[in-house]
Amino acid sequence: MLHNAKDKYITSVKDYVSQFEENSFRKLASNDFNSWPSPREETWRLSRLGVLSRKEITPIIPNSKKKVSSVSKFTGSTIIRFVDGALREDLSSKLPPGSSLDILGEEDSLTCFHKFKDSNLKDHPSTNVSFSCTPSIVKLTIEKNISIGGFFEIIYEGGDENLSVHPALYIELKDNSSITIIERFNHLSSLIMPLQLVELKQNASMNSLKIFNDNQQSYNLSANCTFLSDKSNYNSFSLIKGGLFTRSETHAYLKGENCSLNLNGVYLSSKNQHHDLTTAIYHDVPNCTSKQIVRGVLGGKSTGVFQGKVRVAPDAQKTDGQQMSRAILLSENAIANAKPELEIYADDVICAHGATVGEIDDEQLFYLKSRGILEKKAKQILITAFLNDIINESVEESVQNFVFEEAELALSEIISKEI
Amino acid sequence: MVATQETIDKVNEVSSTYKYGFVTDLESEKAPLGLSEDIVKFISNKKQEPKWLLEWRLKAYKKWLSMEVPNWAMVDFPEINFQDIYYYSAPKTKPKLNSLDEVDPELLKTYDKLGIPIKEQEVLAGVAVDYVFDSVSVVTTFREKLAKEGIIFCPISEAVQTYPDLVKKYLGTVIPIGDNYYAALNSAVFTDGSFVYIPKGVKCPMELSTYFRINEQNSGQFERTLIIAEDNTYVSYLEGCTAPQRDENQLHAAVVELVAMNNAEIKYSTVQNWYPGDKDGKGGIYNFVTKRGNCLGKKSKISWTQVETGSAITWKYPSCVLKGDDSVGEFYSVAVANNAQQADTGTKMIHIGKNTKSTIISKGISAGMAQNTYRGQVQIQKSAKGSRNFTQCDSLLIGDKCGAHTVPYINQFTPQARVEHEATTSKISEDQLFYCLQRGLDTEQATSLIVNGFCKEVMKELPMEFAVEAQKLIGISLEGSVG
Repeated sequence: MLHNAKDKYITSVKDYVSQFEENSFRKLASNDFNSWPSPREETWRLSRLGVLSRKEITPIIPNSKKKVSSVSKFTGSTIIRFVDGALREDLSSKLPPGSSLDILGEEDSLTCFHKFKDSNLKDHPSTNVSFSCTPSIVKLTIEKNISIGGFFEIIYEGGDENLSVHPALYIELKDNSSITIIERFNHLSSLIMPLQLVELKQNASMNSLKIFNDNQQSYNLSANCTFLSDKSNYNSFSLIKGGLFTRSETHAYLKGENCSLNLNGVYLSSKNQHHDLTTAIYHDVPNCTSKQIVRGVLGGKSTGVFQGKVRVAPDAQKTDGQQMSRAILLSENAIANAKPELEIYADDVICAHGATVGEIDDEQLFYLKSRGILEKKAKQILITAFLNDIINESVEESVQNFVFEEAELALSEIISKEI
Repeated sequence: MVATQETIDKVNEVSSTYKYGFVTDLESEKAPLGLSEDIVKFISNKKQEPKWLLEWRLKAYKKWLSMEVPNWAMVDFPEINFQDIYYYSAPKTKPKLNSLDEVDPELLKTYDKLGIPIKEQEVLAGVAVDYVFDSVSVVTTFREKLAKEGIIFCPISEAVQTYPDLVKKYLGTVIPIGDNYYAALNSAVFTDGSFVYIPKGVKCPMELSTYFRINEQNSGQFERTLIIAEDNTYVSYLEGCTAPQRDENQLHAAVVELVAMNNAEIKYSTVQNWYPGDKDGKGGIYNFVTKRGNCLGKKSKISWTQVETGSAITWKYPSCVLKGDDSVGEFYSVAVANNAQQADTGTKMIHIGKNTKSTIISKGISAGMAQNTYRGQVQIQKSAKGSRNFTQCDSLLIGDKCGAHTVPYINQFTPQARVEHEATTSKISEDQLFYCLQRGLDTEQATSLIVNGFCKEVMKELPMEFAVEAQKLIGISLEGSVG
């Protein structure tokens, strides 16, 4: 029988798992991967994966000798490296006390798999494919009452054309612990499907910073599932600038009272890039706060998508859910889509969302020009301010400069063409 | 909280007493139960329609057969058996009346019960009323006065006979027969509705109004309304509904098409108070309506105002296609859902022409176990330079068993436009309530005042002639839910 290319990736995933036992989590995962999401599916309507079914891609077999090219951007950070989706302990730093890095065995992997499958990420292609093909699920644990000073820098790289990579990371913060993690995605692969499970136990606190800067031809379909217990705090910021197609999808479940969540993000898109920030926040218990700020700058023929859903369960009273998304279009051919969504089943809540799409504000521009600033410069100032605003608010002070620089690089590329 | 409990009690109290629940005893002529090609032919034959329309209906019927029931809306109801519905029923005596005196007294009584004294309206309000009782228009008033201006306002079945060219030219141009499942169904089996044509340069001297009544048990209503406003015209059209109480769900799938040419303005207002069902939602009306306006001409304007208080399920998205440069689209909506009611309503604004503007103001109020969803789309196409949209949708929750949802879509394809969307969801603020109580109002009065304030932006858009009834109808729901 002749296979078309679409069947090929699905077949190659099935081939990959054929070596494992029937009851392995990999087999279970691969059983659920039978097609790419169709554009008829609501959450994939604005970000279509049709192209992937025509590509010839196979899951990568990690090369444990591969040399790395990305260098650390910080001094004194604890580095963890994933190459070709596999953890490279030989290239990673020694971990500070109170933290540990483990490769999960079959049983724990299965538990981890079920946590994903019980969430609304169960049908995400990365969930099914990466659980099938990941070299291993890596777990980072921070012990009780441990507060890690400095930060972890996780660098993902490797992969190659026509290969897919599948890093899977499970982060557990035990009671009263805290950590700051910076993740940098610098893959060369055609297809990148990172999985991340975060569990914050009581009073734990995590700052997460993600920089998506994969190869210009890459598809990155990142799937993140986060669970928050009582009084925990998750503060995340994503900067999407690389790849041909990057979609960062995060589902956060607020399971304990008095927890707070920030899911902020910026996408900077040029040429024919497609960037998508999709989030879902589930307020399942009372007295929690969630806040989301998303900004986008679009040039060239790029497309930006923001889909944010806030669901407040019945009885999740005193919820405060805020969401704000703004996009600036700099080019005639760029497209901005926004779908902020509220689904509310409790009455004593304060929930709001706002979304704007437009060009640079005329009045602001006029204000600057009337003070003798050239139009080009004025626009630059306004766009930079548009981003600095959110970066200042969402990112820890010590890494702000790094984020500014990362953003600046992408921004200058957009601005140089459009202004 | 005491106030909340009181409110909930009130809701329960009112829900059991639907004021307009009665059935008029009239013999009616029915088509056989169910839907088939023959039924479509039967309806067409009954109405002595020209061949082109029959073919059009049959085409729609075939299209409908190939379509699937849409399931994306946030509403939940048992599957409809489309073969268990009468698609045609008409009062037996076909009236050709010169004055209201000749109208069946039973009918007049019905309207009296509804609080719409025809003569009084004639004299006092100066409203021309085109009553639709079940499917056949019974009486049309003020036709002559309108005719003097060259305005055509008549049942669409009549327009098909008298003005076939106009109907043929515009029918289905705004909402194609295959637009969606219910629109296709309507196109195949529509029985009657209103037809309005405003010739060039005419400002319609009065508000045009149609009252729809669903009367025959098990007969779905499939109205079709077509309004055409030529260059430099103005028309305001009012649509209001009440329906008798009954136990089986009734399907209502109307289609409303508006066409506005250069500099024309159409204002379309709806007050909908169909039977919402009992406390568990049993017996309420299913309201699946497709409404769309085409702003074809430059500087044309279409404005939708709706007050939705009834129906078990509302599925309704009055939309504007802003094709002409500088055209304007507006959508003002109050949706009240109580008990087991489910409303999924909103709008679409499709900006195509340059400098087009749209405003969306949506106020949703949920009480009891009701689910109220705003679903809207604003699309700015590449050609729509200089366009502007402002959207505000606010939801108010009364009681902890109800839900309020907001699902807006923004798609922008040009930088030279600005889209703004904001939405809030909350209950009545303690501060506001406290402020009112402190000034001597009781909780119910205070709540009522606050809710009225919450809706005011929309209510003020309703035409004067309609305001009394609108307040009366929304009053029934609001009275029940908030005080």
